[in-house]
Amino acid sequence: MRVCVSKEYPKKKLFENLELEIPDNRILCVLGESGAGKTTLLNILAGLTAYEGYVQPKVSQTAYIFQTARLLPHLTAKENLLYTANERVTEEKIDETLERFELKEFSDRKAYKLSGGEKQRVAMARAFLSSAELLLMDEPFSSLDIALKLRLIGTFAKAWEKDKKTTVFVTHDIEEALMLSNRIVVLKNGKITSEFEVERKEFPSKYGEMNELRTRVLRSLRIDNKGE
Amino acid sequence: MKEQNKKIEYFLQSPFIKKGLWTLLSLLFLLIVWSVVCLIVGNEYLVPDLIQTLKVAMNLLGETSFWRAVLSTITRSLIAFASSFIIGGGFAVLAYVFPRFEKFFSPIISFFRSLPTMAVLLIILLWSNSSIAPIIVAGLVLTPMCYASVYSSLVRVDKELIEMSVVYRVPMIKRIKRLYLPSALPSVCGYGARNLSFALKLVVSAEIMSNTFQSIGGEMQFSALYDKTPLLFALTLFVFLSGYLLECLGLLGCKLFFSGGEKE
Repeated sequence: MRVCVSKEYPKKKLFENLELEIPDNRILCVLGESGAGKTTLLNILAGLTAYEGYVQPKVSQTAYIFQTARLLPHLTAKENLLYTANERVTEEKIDETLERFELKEFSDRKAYKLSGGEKQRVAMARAFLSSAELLLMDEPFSSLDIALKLRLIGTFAKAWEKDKKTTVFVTHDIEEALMLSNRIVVLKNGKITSEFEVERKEFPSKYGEMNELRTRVLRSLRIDNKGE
Repeated sequence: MKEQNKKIEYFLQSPFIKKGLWTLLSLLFLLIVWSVVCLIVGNEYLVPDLIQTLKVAMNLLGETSFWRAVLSTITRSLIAFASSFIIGGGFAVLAYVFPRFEKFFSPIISFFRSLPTMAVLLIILLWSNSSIAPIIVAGLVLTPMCYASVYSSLVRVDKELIEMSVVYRVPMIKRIKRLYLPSALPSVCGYGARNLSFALKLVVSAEIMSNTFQSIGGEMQFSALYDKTPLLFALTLFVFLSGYLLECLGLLGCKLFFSGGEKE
């Protein structure tokens, strides 16, 4: 998938002809600091934000794991999956998805009674249940503590290995980027300043591994504009 | 003995009893104030005796003409309320779906909100009759209120959930059924329950001004004209209690409808 977009707000130009190659069936991580435009980029891909430029091929449907779970609080976990599932999805498929994400025991619990981690798991299940060709993730682990984060990353990785959806994942956390992505791009000042291929022995990578790659990514995040 | 005391304490601390007790205390306080004012004023034409008023009220309950008047007034109130809800609510949905409609409706709603009610009633009496005029006047006052309550309830629906629904291409019917209605209905219901008692008061006021035949307002006008102050007070007390009862029933209905599914 090729993306070339420009986005301007009344008082700020976010990107101009930002070019991005999104590899099929892989996880692309867009790394950047707060305010870099990562969420806006995802919203453009999801069709939520107007833009100039093109996204080729056009995406008919995306699945989106937001920063907060965005579940309907008065519906149960299962009903939340039913809410976004299309008519072709069977009850068995939904039960299987609940099982896959270890949600079987919470399936009849109202969303407002679920913990933060449980809610994000439902949000993940919802995304993987969808037949969308593109999966977008906007810092889905940022509000979780480290233990829960690692557990959810493991759950996500296991699910992704089965489906291998083309994924664009944005974060400001280098460890998350190293653990999950196949490719990392750094978004800074409205441009892609660096790109890194992630070679790993296992998926997800262990937390704290790949020191050399981490150093290179960190360096690219800190490069001053004057030097470029 | 200790266990019995604990049971009594638990019963007295239940929310229903607490609220009921406080309501009773408030009512008792008002009745005491009435009695004290009656004693101070010392003029039964201006402030009738509480016991005499209650006797008149009890006698009313046995009169067929009174119940006909009650039925007629409550029917008018319900018609005014229902029509204002349909019209106001309908416009609110339009305004929510089409923001340009909201800009168009806003000054019109403000205009109707600021209409002097009784002046409007006099105009409407020229065009219609004393039976219909109270319905129209109450409807004119209630419609902007219903519009505002439905519109604000819709606007408060979580935008993040709407966004999520857009991304996942959730069909509009499903969104209305599973997102908009459950989000907006509880507060709309609450407004509705309160506006129901307000509708009754508006209709009664308009009936007094219009001297509507076979209505509570008409009876109040009659009792004032013929210096039947205890009857006037009894009817006023009845309107007050009816309005309060309507509001309580409405709120209870809302609570039962929306909380029934929450219990595990």
